[in-house]
Order: sequence, then structure tokens, then C-alpha cells
Amino acid sequence: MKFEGSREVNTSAQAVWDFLTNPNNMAECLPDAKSHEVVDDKTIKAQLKVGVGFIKEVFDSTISYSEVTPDSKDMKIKIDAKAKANTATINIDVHVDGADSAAKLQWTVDAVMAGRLASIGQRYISKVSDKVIEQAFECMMSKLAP
Amino acid sequence: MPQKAELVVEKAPETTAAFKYMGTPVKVAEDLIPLQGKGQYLDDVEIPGTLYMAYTLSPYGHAKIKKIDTSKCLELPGVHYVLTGEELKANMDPYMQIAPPPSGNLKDYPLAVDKVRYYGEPVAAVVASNAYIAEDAAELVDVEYEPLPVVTDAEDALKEGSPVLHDSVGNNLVWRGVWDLGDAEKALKEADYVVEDTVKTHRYAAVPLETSGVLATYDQSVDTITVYSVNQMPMFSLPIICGALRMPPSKFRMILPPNVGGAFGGKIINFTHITVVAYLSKLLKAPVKYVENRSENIMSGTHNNERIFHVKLAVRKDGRVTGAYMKAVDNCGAYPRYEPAGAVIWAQVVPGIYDVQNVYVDFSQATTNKGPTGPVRGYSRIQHNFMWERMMNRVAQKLNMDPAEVRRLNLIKAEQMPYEGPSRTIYDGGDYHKAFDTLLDTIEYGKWREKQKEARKQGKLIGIGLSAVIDSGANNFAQVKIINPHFPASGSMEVGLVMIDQFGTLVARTGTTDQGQSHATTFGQIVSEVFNTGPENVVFQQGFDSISNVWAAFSGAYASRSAVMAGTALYYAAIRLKEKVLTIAAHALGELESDLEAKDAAVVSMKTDKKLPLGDIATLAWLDVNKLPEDMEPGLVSYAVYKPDFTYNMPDEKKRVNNTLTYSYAIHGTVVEVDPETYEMKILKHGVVSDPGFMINPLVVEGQEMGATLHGISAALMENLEYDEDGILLTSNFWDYLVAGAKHMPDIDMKTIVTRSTSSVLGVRGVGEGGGGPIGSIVNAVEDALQPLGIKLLSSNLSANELYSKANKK
Repeated sequence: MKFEGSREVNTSAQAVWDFLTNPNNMAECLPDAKSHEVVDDKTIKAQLKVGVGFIKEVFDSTISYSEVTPDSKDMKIKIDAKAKANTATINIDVHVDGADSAAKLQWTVDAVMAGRLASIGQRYISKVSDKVIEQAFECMMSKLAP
Repeated sequence: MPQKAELVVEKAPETTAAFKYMGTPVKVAEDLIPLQGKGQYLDDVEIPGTLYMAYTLSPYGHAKIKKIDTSKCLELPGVHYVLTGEELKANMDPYMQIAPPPSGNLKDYPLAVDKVRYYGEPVAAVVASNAYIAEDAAELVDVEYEPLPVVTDAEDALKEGSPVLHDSVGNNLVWRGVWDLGDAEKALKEADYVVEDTVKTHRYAAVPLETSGVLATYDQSVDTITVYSVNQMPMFSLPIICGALRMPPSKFRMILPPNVGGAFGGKIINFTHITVVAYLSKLLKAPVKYVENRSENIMSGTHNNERIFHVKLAVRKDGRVTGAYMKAVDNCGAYPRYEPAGAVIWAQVVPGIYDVQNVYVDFSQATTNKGPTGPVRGYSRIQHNFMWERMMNRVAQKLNMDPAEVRRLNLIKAEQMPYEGPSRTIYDGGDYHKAFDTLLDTIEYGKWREKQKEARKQGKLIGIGLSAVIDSGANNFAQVKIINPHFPASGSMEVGLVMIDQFGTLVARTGTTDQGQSHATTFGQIVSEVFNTGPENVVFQQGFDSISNVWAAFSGAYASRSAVMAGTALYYAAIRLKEKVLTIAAHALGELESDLEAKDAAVVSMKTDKKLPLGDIATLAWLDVNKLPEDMEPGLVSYAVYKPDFTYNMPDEKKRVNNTLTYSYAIHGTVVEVDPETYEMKILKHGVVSDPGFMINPLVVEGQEMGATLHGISAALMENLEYDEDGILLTSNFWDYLVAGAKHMPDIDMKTIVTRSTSSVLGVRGVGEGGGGPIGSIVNAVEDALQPLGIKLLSSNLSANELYSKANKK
């Protein structure tokens, strides 16, 4: 399953980039995290609660950064998540650009879902992912706000 | 009690005389039992100390199993054991394959070994003290997977470079065969028109009301496993299971409970569950039970084969079809557990219901990352029938003819009966034109064509569709030798036992098992007929037991065979028993046998009116045995094994064989209205005219045909097993997998015209599967309704969403 999106942020591209590449910031903005642990500067482990329709699962997740390129402000985030009878592998390409007070955050997501959630909840997953992204975004905005 | 039947050769008696008990609509007494909740189904069978099994299922369509960690699962209180594919592989052989190598090299185990090949495939079996703990524990088995590329389309699966499911085979081809019958190439060359198109049938499930289940218990004292199951072919499945478990069938007792809640073909390849549960019961020395939940049944119960046809028809200017040339590719899912039988079973209906002698078929079957396929009500013929019905409409469109006229022109004529098709199938009588014209009258075809014209002027979308199908019954296993000449089975057989107990009650048993087909009433009528006594004097004993009941190796209720095969076996057995009864009565009464007749639970003399009740004869036969005629064996038990002659019993080098004994047929007509805004489809009228041959019980036949019609409507308009590109089944429960129920059933106008079968002893034809008749008539009707929009349909399943998208793309 592939989807993409972008949001404009009323702050500098560098501030957004700095926020995103700091795993401590990201860990605090993980939506519906029951727990999290920043393992190193490129790895977070977390228990994420995800609900799709009537199916609710807690995923043991590993979130890792790679190909972090400050010059172009590009990076990749991989999420490996596992729950009872469900697994998800999510690869996100992130790019930040824009002017000083009008940063633009772009992402493309390639998600491979497997298990009951993928079977029963697939038609609702894009709505759920929109909600999750919105939550993460709101969190980031509140922390970036002066 | 005889355990093993011996073959008998007996000339079929003349059965054209009018019957007294057969042919009457006797009310089905046994239906009341399940309706009152008093039935004995598999899950009602209880043994103290039973453990319960649940599966850990694959979340992927295709993935390598890197590691299975059972530690968390085993820590859960109540868990007794976790079985993996690796352990099974070390203790059993893979199941026998029908196809010869290379696809015969496929290694099939009931639990995944090394990798998973379809969504929902069992990976581990967890045994616990109750079903709830087992289900929770199954989710604690931690399996590490490495996802692999997925292929879900059969044509893609056969392309170079496609992901390969079974490394031991090397590619995804299960079997390929070419039927070159008559001269299709010449027909195409000489045709006025070549009508060409692609037709696709979709995947749906059998969906019996009761899912599959197994209860197995091991008796150490005699080293025997007793299995209660709902398998439709118990004695055919037994060698498959015992071969895999390396044990003789005599150490494996197979029992079916008195009630089985529907099967429709979907309870044949459940031998995988039987293997696992039997293995565990022996290992744990405890009874073990497993009952599929609904999702498991939908995911891997049995799926109907998807098939794509690329067809060219040779057509004359007047609409006569002179030849057919086609390539068919069949999708059998991840494991060919009954396949590739479906790759030849379609050949039971090579020309459909039409007089076409030049047919070329290049048939391939492929494995893909979907659930396993197998028989589903109309196994493999539905697809072929649907292809013919779509193509007949294409001919009509090409020639600007009425689709009814094209069909009428091509139907096999009554004077051609019995009709020998190009593959040597022998259509056993019938009047297809009479049935067809009756159907047109029934649905008021001409009137609806006029209404359609008016409706179109008002922007309404009304369509009329027809479908004429053959539904073969009582299969000849020799057809599988087309795939593998070494396949150790041919012909068909069924056994019937009739006895009179010590008090004079007639008792009947057979090897087929009732799944809701009213066997007790129907078979009771047959025995009643022979003894000229009311059904109240006959007890038909339901259920199956490989130790205490009669069976033949092919026993079972499948392939529309029960009335044809078991009915005939019981008829023969009853005749034999009556002969002995008359001999005893003649001796006791001092009369000539030729002066005696059976009547009303007694034997009476037509000459002297002397009468001897069956109860008195039973006393002589069972107890007062010194009064029997000299040298007569005591007892009143008779059994017969019916083995029909198919005329062309074995396939020749051109793959020609009479694949099955009877060929019932049905003409369906549907009128639909499609909402021009939402594209919702509504059936305004549906008519069926069928010829089931002689009807032992017309009520039962009507019920069977009604069910088959509903199943077809459901398949066309609702049921669809839809997979995504990763091989995830998106319709794995009754929320997403929609099944028609009584509330979806439109009024059906059903009529029968009866011609006796020229092949079966009793003149009956196998019915109940229905040949998928409504699917073709509904799709044809919807396409006809959408004709003003120029929308062309491809598949056998329709949804309002799909129609809306097509309409709005234009």
C-alpha cells in the first residue's frame, strides 16, 4: 500500500529537520504509544496501539532512521511492527524544504501489512493513517511553537 | 455384518413401470430434527477429557518461515502441546499427488513447512484444555517471517520469472492438457464469422452452514485411531490420510455423525484437519477436537476455481456455431489437494448443451498464492457452462440476433438423444428445446423484450438474460487417468444394505452420507417401492462408520451421485432381499413363489389370499431357523454394490471418455433492473426449467434445485473472495464476504419437464449442483440492461461499485 502527503509549516525548514532527526522528539510524538525507548540516535523501540475499526492491537515496533542527508534534508524511516496475528513493515521517505518561515514537509509511505488487520481493516487503513499522521503533526507543531 | 463389499454384476431391471411410492412428494420427516435443534452434528459429539486444537495462521500470502518460537505459548496455563510443520514433516509423508512429476513432486503437509503460501495457511497447531485457551494460545506462537514476492493471477504465475510457490516442482504449472476433438481449426477457417472474447470466472466458497470439524481419539489397547469427521468422501480420503501417517486404514476408524450441515464440495479437502487431529490424539493419547471458525472456513475451506478463457467460436451466417477453439487457464491456489481433477472435470460438458462437435481446448492449471481450490457445487463445469453462455451472447451481438434464437438454433435436438459429445460423453436423454421454450414462456420473454424497449425510452435499465446449462452427476474416476494414467481408480460404485430386523421392520443403510439432501425419505421410498409397503415400515439409518456400516471405496455424497448411485444400490439390495423373503414365505405357506407378492409389510398369495407378515418371516429367518428351507442361510440381510457401465469407461489417446453417468440440464432466465444512479441490481424475475429425470421425491428435487439457484444468485451478485496484490484475503468473514440468505431470494418460477435418464437404472439424473445456471443468466441480463451505455462485462461476479466505475469511466 502506497500513499504520499505534504504539509506546510509556519517555521523554518531547518527547525523541522532538526526536530525530525532527533529521536527523542520523535519518540514523544509517536501517536498512541504505550511506551517508548530511544535506543540510540537512529533507533526507537515503542509499543504502539493501533485501532482499525473494531480491531485494536498493540504493536511491538522498531523505528529506525537511515540515509539521513542534512544537505538535501532527506531521510528514510523504517517501522517494523509486530502484534498477535499481525505484522507491518512501513518505509517512509521524508523530505523537508522551503523558505525560512514556510517549511514544507513531504512524505511517501510504502506499507506492507499482513494479518487480520490487513484483511479485515484494509479499506479503513488510509483513514487511520491520516489520523495518525495528523496526531504526529499536531504534536510536532506544539513542540516547535515558540 | 459385511465390512467389505463384493462387486456384483446384475442386469438392470426394467423400471419403466409406474411406481407407487417412488415419484410421490412424500414430506421430508427428517428435516424436523435439525429445525428443532435436535440434530447430532460433529460439534455435538463429546468425549470426556477432550483437548481442543486451534491453528496459528499465516498473516502473509507468501513468506519464508525463519523461526517459530513456541515458548510464550507453552507458558500459558492450559496449553498441552504445540505442533509445527517441521515435526509433522519428520513423522509423516507428504500427501499423494494426483498429477505426475514434475508437479507430482510437490510436497504438501497440513502445516506449513519452510514457508507459507497463502493467507490463512495453518502454521502451527496448539492443543489446550479448552477451545478458548487454544485460540488465545495460538496467537502467542511467535513466527518470524521473511515476506516473498506474491503471485495471485494464474496467467502471471505461468510467466517466466514469476515467483515459484513450490521449489520441488520448479514452476507453477500443475498440469496442461490439450483436447483436439473433431476439427476446430477447419471449422474456424470455414466459418463465416469468428467470434472472439475473453471470459473469466471468479473465486467464491462453498460456505456450508456447518464448518468442517474433527474429533479424534486414540485407543492404545488396539492401537486404533477413531475419527469423527464430516468428510464427504470418507473412504476415499482414508487412504490419503493413512498413506501420509504411515498406518493401515484398518487401524483408522472413520465415523460421520448422523447430521452434516451442508457440504457443497467443501468437505472433501478437509483431510488436512483430520491428519493433524489424528496425529495429535495418538501423540497425546487423548481425544482432540477441532472445529473450523467461519474465517478459517472462508480462508481455506475450499474455494471454487477461478478460470480465464480466451475463446474463438466458428459461426455460420445463420448463427450456427460449428466449432470452438479456446485456451483456458485455471487458478488452483497454493496446494492442489483435489486438483488437478478440475482440469479434466470440465470435459464432462465439453460442448455445453449445444451441438458442437469440433472443439479444441488447451487447458493449463497453475498454483498461486491463494487458498486451495476443490469441488464447489458444480465443480469445474460451472466455469465451462458460464463460458458457453457468455459466448452465445457474443454470437448474438455479432450477428445482431436475439440471444434466445441463437441458443435455440444450437441446442442438441431431442432426436439426437442419447447424444454422444465430441469427448464421448453420453448425454442421457432430454428435450432441450422443450425446456428452453417452456422457460421463455415462464419468464414471458417476448413480453419483457417489449417492456425493455419502453423502459429504455424512460431511461430505465432493464435487461433479460438466458443461460442453458448441463449438470453432470455420478462421476467416472477414470477421467483422472487423463492426467495420470497410473492414478489407481476408475469407474464408480456405491453400496446399499437392506435388512429386515427381528420384528419385521425394513432397515436400509448406504455408504453416502446425508448433508441435508433428505436421504432418509428418498431412500426409504425406494425400499418401500420394492416391498410395496408404506415408508412408515422403513427405517433409513443415517451416519457413517467404517467399522459397523457398509461402504465401498468411493462411498460418499459428492458429484450429484446419491440418488443415482446409492439409490440404485439400495434398489438392487432390496430386490435381492425380497427374493429371499418370498422364498421363505413360499416355504412357510406352502405356496409357489410365483404366486406371492410383497404388500403392506407382508407377503400375500395372489391365489389363496394367505398372508404372512414380515414380522413372522423375520422370526423364521432370525430365530426359528430350523423352519427355514433346507440349506438357506439364516438372517435377512442383503447388500449390493452398484458399479455402472459408462459405455466409454476408460479414456483413449484423445482424452475421450464418458466422464459421468447422468447429465441433467436446466434453462435459466433472469430479468434485472439496474439503478441508473447507484448501479444496484435487482432481480425482477427469475425462471428455471429443468429436467432432473425421474424424480424419486419431487419435493426433494425442488429443494435441491432451489438451493442451487440461490447459490448461483449469491455467486453472481454477492460472494467474492477478493485478494489484494500482497495475497491478503480481503473478504475473510461474513462482514466482508457476503452470502445470500432467504431474504435475498427473489421469487423463483420453477418448472420441471421430465424425461427418464437413458443411463441410470432408476431413470434419475443427479441434481443439486445446478451447473451455475443463474450466474450466466444474471451476468447476461445485467450486460443487456447496460447495453445503452455500451458496458461490456468480463467476470462472473458483479458489484454495483464495479458497474458504477465502468459507467463513469466512459
